[in-house]
Amino acid sequence: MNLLVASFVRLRLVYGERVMRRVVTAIEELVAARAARGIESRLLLIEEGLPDLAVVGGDVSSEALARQLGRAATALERVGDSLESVLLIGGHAVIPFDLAPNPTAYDGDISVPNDARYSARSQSALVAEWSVGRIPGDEGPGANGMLLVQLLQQAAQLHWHGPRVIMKTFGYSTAVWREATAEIYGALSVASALLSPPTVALSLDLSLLDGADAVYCNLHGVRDGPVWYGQTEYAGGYLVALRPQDVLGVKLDGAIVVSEACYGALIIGRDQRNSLALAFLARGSACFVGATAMSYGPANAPLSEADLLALHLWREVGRGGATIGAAFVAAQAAMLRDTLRNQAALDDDDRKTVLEFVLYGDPALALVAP
Amino acid sequence: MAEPTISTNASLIAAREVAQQVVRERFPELDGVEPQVSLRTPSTWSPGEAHQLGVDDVLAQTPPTIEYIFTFARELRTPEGYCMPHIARVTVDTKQRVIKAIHSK
Repeated sequence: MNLLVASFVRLRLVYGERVMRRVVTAIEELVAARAARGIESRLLLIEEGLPDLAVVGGDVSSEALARQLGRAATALERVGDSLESVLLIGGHAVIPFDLAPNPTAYDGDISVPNDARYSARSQSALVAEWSVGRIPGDEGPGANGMLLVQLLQQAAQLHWHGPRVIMKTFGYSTAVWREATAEIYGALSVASALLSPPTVALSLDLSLLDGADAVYCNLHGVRDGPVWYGQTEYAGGYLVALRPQDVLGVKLDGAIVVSEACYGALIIGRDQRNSLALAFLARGSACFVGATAMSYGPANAPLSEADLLALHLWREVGRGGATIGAAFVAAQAAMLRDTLRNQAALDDDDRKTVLEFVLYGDPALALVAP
Repeated sequence: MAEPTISTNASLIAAREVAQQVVRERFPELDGVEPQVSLRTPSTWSPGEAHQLGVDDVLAQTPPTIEYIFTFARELRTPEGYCMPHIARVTVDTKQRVIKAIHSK
């Protein structure tokens, strides 16, 4: 069973009655499109629960929702079913991220916004029991909810079209991480592998990105801004490599986008004009995987943390045949497994990596054909 | 709280020197930054999770060791006015072996 999780009360509060009704229609279209692909789904309204399974309604808080999803998983098992995936409908203003305490001391993050808390019954679980994705909306000044409607309709269309074949890939990395990136580029068979510098936003040939089916970015991100940076070998050499306006100028229908940038998936209070994650989704991408907080990686092999997760995710994508959500869960498990085999224990930064990487998009979408 | 022993202090000082050397070589932009130190805290695993990952053997054989994490942090201001934190975390054990050295993205 695949659950779509929504709060009509919160949607109405954030976007108003008219947009809330459009969201409801778009959810119905998505459920129909999933059904046509044989994906069994049902809507869980947070305040109402699932009365036929004796799952009671709750308030819209991360703690209550995590508890409710755990009860739903158990209730489904009681009737011989299992929870395969959860799709959260709306951004932080509608369904809040869990704000976990930051596991890594002294790096400036107070908490780690995450959806990992919604992926298992136990609060301390590191391994997901089911996949979780989120279709976010626009937030902040000027937000009108139309991005959420668009992304729901987009997900339905992607189900109707069926699995794609990756024909065009795009990779973009800071020059200083070229060694670590090379191994990941190998897993993705990147055709257009760019380094920044020499490439910067002003010199980026957008035709390389336009129409890409798979996009991988290993660039720096910042907490208080929407752009990603390249870095030279020398101190302080940060150059703007990618901006939302660059992405908003291309088409990315059905693309799988993975970013390792710090705060690359931090979308609270933002829209597609000031978030690259939302810009990628607004231009048609099927999913965006990125970090909501400070992310980490090594300068050289062996790969670890965000690099290792990205490597495994692209390998899972390459295998094909699964859903985006299942690939994300499998990549996280593979990252944990490799880390334990390499260093015999998990560090705070490994735990942070598992927490902070989120999947935006419908987790039940079929991956590219193998 | 127990006072750190002389041997612990000696190993900490030695480990810090190793971490500073790593930073000089791999993250020169952080050379000269005084690190914060914390102890590596191993994760707790449920038997079910370990089994699911296929790492029961690794966890069963892992002896507890003391390892230090040295965090080197500085912030830059980009020309666009954004705050660019630069963090390196170097994990070193009491035998001065570098377990790993990573940086912020």
